[in-house]
Amino acid sequence: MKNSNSEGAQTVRIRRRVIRSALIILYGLLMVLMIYTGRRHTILIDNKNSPDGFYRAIDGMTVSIDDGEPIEYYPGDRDKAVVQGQKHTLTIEIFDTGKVITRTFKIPLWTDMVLISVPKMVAGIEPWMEPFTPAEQIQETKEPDEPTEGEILFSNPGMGNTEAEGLP
Amino acid sequence: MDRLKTFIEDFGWPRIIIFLFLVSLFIMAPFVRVRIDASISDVLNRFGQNAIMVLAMVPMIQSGCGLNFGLALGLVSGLLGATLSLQFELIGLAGFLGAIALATPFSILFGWFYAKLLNKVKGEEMTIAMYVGFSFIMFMCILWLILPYSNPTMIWGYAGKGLRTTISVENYWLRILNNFLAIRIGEFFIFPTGLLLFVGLFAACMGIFLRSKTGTAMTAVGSNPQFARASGVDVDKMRTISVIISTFLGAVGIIVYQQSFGFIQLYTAPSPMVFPSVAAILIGGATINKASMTNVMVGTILFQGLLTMTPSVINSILQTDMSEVIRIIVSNGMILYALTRKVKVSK
Amino acid sequence: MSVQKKFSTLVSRYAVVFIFLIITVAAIPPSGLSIKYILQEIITRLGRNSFLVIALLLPIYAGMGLNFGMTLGAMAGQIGLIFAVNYGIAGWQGLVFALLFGLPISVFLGWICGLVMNKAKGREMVTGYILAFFINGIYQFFVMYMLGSVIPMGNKSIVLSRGYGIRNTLNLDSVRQALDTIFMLRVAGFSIPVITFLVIAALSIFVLWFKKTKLGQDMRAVGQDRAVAEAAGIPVERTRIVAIIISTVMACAGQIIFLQNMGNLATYNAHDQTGFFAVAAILVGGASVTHANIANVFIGVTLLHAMFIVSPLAGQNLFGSAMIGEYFRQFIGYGVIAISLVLYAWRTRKAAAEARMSLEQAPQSVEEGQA
Repeated sequence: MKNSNSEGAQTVRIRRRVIRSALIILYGLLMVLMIYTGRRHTILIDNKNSPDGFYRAIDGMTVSIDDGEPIEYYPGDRDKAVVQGQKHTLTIEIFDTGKVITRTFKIPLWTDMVLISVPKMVAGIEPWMEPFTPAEQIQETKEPDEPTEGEILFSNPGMGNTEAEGLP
Repeated sequence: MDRLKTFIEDFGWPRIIIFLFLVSLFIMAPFVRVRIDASISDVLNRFGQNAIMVLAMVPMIQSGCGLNFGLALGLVSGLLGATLSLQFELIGLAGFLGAIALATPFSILFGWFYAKLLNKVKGEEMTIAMYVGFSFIMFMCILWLILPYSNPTMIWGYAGKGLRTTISVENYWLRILNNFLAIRIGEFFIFPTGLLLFVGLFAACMGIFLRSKTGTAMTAVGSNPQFARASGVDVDKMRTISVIISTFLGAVGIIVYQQSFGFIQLYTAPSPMVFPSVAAILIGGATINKASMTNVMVGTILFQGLLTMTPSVINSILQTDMSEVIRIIVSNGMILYALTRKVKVSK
Repeated sequence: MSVQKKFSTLVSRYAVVFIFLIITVAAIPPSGLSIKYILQEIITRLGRNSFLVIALLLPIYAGMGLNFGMTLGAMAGQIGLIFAVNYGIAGWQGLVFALLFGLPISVFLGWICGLVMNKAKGREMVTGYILAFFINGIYQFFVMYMLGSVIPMGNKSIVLSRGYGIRNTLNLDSVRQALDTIFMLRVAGFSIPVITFLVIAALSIFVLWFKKTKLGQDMRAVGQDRAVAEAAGIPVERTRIVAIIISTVMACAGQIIFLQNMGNLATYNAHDQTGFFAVAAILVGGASVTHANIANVFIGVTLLHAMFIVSPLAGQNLFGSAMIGEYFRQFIGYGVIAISLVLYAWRTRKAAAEARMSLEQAPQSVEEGQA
């Protein structure tokens, strides 16, 4: 009797451990899923001549990403779009020829910004999408948020931050 | 070895850690170009500034009302006294004593009402005290704006109505205590004799009071209410007396602080002064229902020492201002430690 | 009980609700705000704050009073959001990620909070309050010195210019209103964040269901009488800790919902008033230190925030000063908690005194009966 009871307890323990490990793995997978589907990327869309003449900017077109608004591009234009997730579709309609080109592309997960050169893509030159690292990325978000360290903390026990800003 | 062990247990590990930390800061000071004489002078100054507010904790702890989170009431009485003293243009010693005299009726009044409230809610005094204190401070904020003060150094220049947030006491009674019989050694060291004498006087009075008949009755109420009641002591009356004394000391405490600091700070300024006083007495070894003069002295020195030395030393080492964070962790940690200790059965 | 006694008990029980109702309604005309504006604001604030207030229910149920330690959960949620922004995760995915990231932290912090509160039985509220400040110190240390240095932050735009430590305002544009706008119902000129309310409704149903489970019943027993619960074999210490852990986790999620609606994060201060506002809300809604239900939550949030909406302008128009309105609002806020606590403590002591008196009288009547 005693033996079978302890065996039963053992099975329960093993089962519990299995379920718990499965749950933890599920938890981790969920976080990963959020990263994959939630990560934001900025796409810079270029319509510029190549420096060495391999391709020319397109004289008038509209470009849209996924279901976005088509935006007009003329030679030398650059615009940007912010998207979530990795897979996207690029749709181009060229004014002159009336041609509509659709291309799907995938942004690498940890790349924040990519530069797509439409002329390059239309001319069939690879790679037409490249990671973009702006040197001024840190510059733009400078002064307004800079606190002096004394200001940051007002965490005296007491009434804390009584300014209206802190009120929900 | 055994005696050492009991000593450590009684003294408590957190206290020992804080003490060692403070000592190490003093040792490090000269190596990081922090003047020891200036530091000691600072510490003494801040000790004197705050000691009486910490002392204010003692009566209510002894009478079983717990930690006086409602010290705000006493502080506000002191503010009323100080502002009135300035309004009446009292200067020098008359100004200082006048401030205390003017604060006294307020502190007795507020203390009495506060005591009545606490007597109705025995057991949950601390949380209620906190919120009564906060709402009272807010109520006073409204009053500071509309009370008819007229001294031009106190009120807003343009609008002309309502008191300023910070009022200087420079022309009135700045450092009147500190400079009394002060001993000056070199350029950086001033021993604030008057201040420390004043603090000593009050501490001595409190010590004598606690040994008096009323004082012992008060302590009895705190450590064993049933026994006290059986002995014919009016528990409520003792608690009321302790609360009034505590409020009065709070008023005196903040006036002493102001004469040393140089400014009267109104509106929401009193609120961050309450918790440090609580933390200080706990660091000094007091528990929720037992506090002595030693606790006050030791606690205030350790706490203010920490507050003074940490910024200067640590900032010089790390090139960064960690003092706020350390202060938050230490002071709240101490209060936490006291709250979670088993209440000792009275010996 | 006599009718008079019943009435006075009713009044003292709901005194706070009445006071608030009267003050708020009285302040509407002088404030000059339209009813429509007030209603829309209330709808928004209900969506923003209710979750946080619901987090207070279980500890009250388990006899641990008002859980001021819920701030710990809020801090965990904020850390989750910091990392979500750091990894550039936007939309509702960012919110879910923040929650998943903050969850283990809030469970850990809740566990600590429960342990500490168990060591301070009878003083849980003060202890929770102080613990929140203590952990806040550690949070400040962590976010100000460790993030960006010991723990590298890939997204440099959220780091201070000195190279480590997070900026003191974090722009939450990537997740701004991500939950609210999933389905925003615009009807009759009002905007109603449907999904947010569905989430709140789901939580409410969860709480109601939970109260019926064994663990929930255990908590109730512990809340009513620790000694009896212990004698009945309920693991009192553990049950209390679980109640706090669940509360902390809810606070974590609640803070994320709060912040997504606000749109930006005051990294070092955002959680300061969380406990205060949640407690004030539930007390205004008629709860006490030992009894609270879902209705208290919604009534409380509505009333408290209605008052907070109208009083600054009312104060300004009545007294000619915006500051007075602001101080008045704070005064009422703290005052209401003080009054509620006082009324509650007074009622409890009266009940205990009456119980004592009736016990003392009983043997007499027995004797008379026998004679």
